[in-house]
Amino acid sequence: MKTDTIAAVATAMAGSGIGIVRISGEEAIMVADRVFQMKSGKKLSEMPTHTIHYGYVHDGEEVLDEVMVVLMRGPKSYTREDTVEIDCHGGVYVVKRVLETVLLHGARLAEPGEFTKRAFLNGRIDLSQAESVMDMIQAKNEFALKSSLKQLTGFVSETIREIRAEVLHEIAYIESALDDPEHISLEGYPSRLRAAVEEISGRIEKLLADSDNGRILKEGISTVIVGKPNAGKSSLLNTLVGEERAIVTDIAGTTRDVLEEQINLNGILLNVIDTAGIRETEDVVEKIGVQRAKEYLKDADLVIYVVDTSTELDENDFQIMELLSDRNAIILMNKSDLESKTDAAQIKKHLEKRIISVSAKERTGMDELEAAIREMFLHGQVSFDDEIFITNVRHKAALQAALDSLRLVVQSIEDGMPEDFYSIDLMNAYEELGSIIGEAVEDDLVNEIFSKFCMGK
Amino acid sequence: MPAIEENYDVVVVGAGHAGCEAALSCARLGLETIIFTVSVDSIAMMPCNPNIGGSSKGHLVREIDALGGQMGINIDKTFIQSKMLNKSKGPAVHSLRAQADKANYSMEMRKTLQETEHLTIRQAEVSEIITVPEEGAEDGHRLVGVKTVSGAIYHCKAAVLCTGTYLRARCLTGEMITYTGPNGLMAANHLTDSLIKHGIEMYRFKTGTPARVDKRSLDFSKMQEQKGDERVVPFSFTTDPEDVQIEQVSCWLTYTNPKTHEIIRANLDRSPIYAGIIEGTGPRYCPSIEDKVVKFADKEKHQIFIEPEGIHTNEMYVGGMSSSMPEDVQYEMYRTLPGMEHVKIVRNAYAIEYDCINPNQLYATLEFKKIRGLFSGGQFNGSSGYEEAACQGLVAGINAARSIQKKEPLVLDRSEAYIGVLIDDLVTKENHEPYRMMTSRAEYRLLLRQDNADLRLTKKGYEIGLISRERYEKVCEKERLIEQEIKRVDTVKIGASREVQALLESYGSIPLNTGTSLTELIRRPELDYWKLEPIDTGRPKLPYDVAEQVNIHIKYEGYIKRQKKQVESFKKLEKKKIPEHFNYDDVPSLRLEARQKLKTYQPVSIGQASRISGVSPADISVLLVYLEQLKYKRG
Repeated sequence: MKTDTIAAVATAMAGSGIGIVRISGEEAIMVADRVFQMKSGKKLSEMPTHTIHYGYVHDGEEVLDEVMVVLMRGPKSYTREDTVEIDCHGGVYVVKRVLETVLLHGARLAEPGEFTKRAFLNGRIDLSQAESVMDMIQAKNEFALKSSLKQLTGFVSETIREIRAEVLHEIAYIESALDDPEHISLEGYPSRLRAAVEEISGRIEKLLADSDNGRILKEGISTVIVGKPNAGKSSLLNTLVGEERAIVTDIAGTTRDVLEEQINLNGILLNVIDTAGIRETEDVVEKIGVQRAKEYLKDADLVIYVVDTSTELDENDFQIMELLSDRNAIILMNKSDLESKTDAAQIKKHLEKRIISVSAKERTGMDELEAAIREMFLHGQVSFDDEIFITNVRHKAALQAALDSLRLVVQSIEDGMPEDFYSIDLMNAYEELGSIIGEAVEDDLVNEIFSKFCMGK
Repeated sequence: MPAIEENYDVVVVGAGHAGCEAALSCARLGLETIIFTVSVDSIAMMPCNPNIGGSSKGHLVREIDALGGQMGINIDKTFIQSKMLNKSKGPAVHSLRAQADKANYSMEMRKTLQETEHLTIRQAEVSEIITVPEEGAEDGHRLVGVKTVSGAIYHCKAAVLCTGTYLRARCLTGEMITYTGPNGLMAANHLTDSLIKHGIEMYRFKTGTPARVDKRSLDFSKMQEQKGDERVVPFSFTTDPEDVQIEQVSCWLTYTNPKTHEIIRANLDRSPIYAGIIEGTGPRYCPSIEDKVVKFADKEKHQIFIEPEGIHTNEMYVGGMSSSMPEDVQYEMYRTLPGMEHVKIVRNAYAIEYDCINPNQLYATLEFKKIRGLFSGGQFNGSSGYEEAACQGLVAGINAARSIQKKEPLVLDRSEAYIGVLIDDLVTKENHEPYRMMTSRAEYRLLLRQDNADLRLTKKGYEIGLISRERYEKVCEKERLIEQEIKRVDTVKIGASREVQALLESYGSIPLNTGTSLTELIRRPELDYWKLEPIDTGRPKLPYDVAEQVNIHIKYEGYIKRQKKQVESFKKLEKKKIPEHFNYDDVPSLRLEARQKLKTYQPVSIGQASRISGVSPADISVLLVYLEQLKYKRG
């Protein structure tokens, strides 16, 4: 039986030093060959099984990370398939990039538990073990209404349950009016429905916003620090990290590579990437860094633009500002301890962003930076106790899909569609919400209709 | 005297709406068929409401017609008023309903049966089914014949039970109880025992019907007239629409009032249901007037429709007021209604109790899981309504024939037909009351419209052998024309000319800024395919039903697409089959309740399994994993 090749990050996506990307399947080694360059210049596919190799992962253009690769040929592997594990060292962001690269080169993203499922299907796990796997799955689902709901915390699941009940109520109303038009009137119903749907949508939007908060609290904000060479980016990073990590010199352009660091700013995680100063340069090595910085900029949640106030704004600054116009950015006026040659007013002419005055050396302005980030990313009231949010990607996607469906309902109402059309999208929303809390649909519907409305013949 | 012994391919027990379709389909497929009835005069009798169709039931009739059944043709010949319901709503819920001339309906169906080759009609009560142990199947049996009360034996390869409300029937009007079937016809008191002996689980259901009253005793000036449609649409795709433009009769609308409700409340202790005499479960959606008054105590009035029972009778049906009250209370309550102050009752309202089966003992083919060759349809399966009965009779008949001919059975899924929804609900879900088809039960109803039943099902009817080649080719041609016209319309560009703007304006539609396609204009809620004809100069002359499909397709494309997506994910689970005789005891960590339910229902697919109440998503995951491992092991 032919199976496709799957990959996933096998370690927790947290601030641990090493992250493992695991690839399993018939083409696992081939995929690895495409992205992994052994220091020895040989190919991984030529290596004996159960060996470890040192080298680089590249995405075809540039090197992403320095890695150790473990090769295990089937059937002597967890899944009984050919398996390659890539031990990355570059932190969360780099692990993600490595995974993406692997996915681009022939693997697909594994579903949750898919490695175990394959181990099971391939007979790697015997019957008694299989049973415990089954129990695991069973437990996960059997307690879906309890434990996984607990995971979502009372509040979120309660909210979804409530929203769902309201959606169901509307579906049931429409359906019973269709079944019994002689007793149940739909006159004036569309505007009532619209109000209800908009109210419900508002609550889902709030959940989604909270979910962003949740993700941000859990995974961190991917942050890029930019600024022209020697603007003080690395010192700022050091200040934030609290140790000398990036090489700080007075010579422009000494930060050759992109550094990533996870910073805990009073409870908010920043996955910070310090970049080589963005400027046109002939230096090849540095050019790679600059290019990559521009790329990182695209994916970043937050860009911190460090302005050296002791120098005049130059071409580099203008270039950066152009890049930042549509990004989530905060401008730091650095070196406020020195004589100022650039001020906020000058910047404002070019870029309308929040400006904060700091001195990396004197460690001033950090509180204001934290407050600004908090304001930008954490919507509404955020508490840091063990309130848990929807951080599960699938759940979030389901929420978003439910919201989209509800918007289509409003669209249908605006278009003056007959009422029975509303239920298609209402039902989609209902199903999507149900998929978050693991509930079935149909019986609810019919029971609801029966319990609430008078049916004539 | 030696007992009679005869041989047939198929025996059909009961000649109601299910039995007629079953017998006709078998005979038309060339099988020697005999149909039994307790009274030949009651073939295709309508013992309750005098109409065919209605919300979602109209869909069933059209589907029956597209598959080659008789109901649509029969009502087209015998209707006396017709209405397309829900016309102000979307096309998915448009539903045809026709008032029937009951006597004529029955007579026409009887004629059809009589004129069908390979079909024998026999008046006799079937009292036993005869089976032999099935080789190779533990606990399984195979049907080989039936026996009548007289002791006659009819050998057969398959039988279809369509006993309606006749099994151990009893009728109740207040304190008065008669042990008869509907309309005082003889009950069938023996078959139940034979079925129980064969291990079949029986239920007891009840239903009811209102009084029939004398037309001459009514004052219609106090009621609202309910006329039929000006342009009648036939049920059958084979009926020429010109043939159904007849003179129609009217129905009448009146209402109950607080006085009516007061009388009912004061006499509840004399109602057999409320006095606890009735043990059967009644339908919630088709409640008696007693139920309505009790359950919806805050409602001040209920609609009551007075419908003619036929052209040659003065009996009128009091729709919405079925009851099991004693006859003096019936007189009292009916006389509180405007226009009925001096009403004379011709036949009393009554409740009827009868034996039926728990349909979870059937496959979706309507064959018994335990007894090969034994099929069933209609109220015997726990449904209610003529249309529900007819479509089951048709499917059971087709599958009885196909099992004899060793052909693949016909199973329609929930995305193909209302019939599929109905049968799946019956055999998969807990059913504790007579099952009625409802629009809300069909998840994919935008695709399952009454207007496209022919496009959905004619091909199947043709493959089965109940639809002629000519008719099938007509549908193929219709399909082609629809597709072609949709494509053409999309290429028609409309400029912002004065003529166009004037047309748009006349329908209150926003004028064009720039050119657009005809498709885009059709999508506008206030416009449609026909309204845009004046500016669509290259339009070919197309039959109305083709234009109708084009219009629906274009106007609701987005919705249709989204619904099709829903169907896709539904089909995924339907396609995951569970092997026959699968042993659920082999699957570790299934919950006990789920294991028992799965063993009872023996679902054929994961999709069906997921619809069984008591089987959770967790159980489904466990099952999926196990099945996949099984598949994997077998390579």
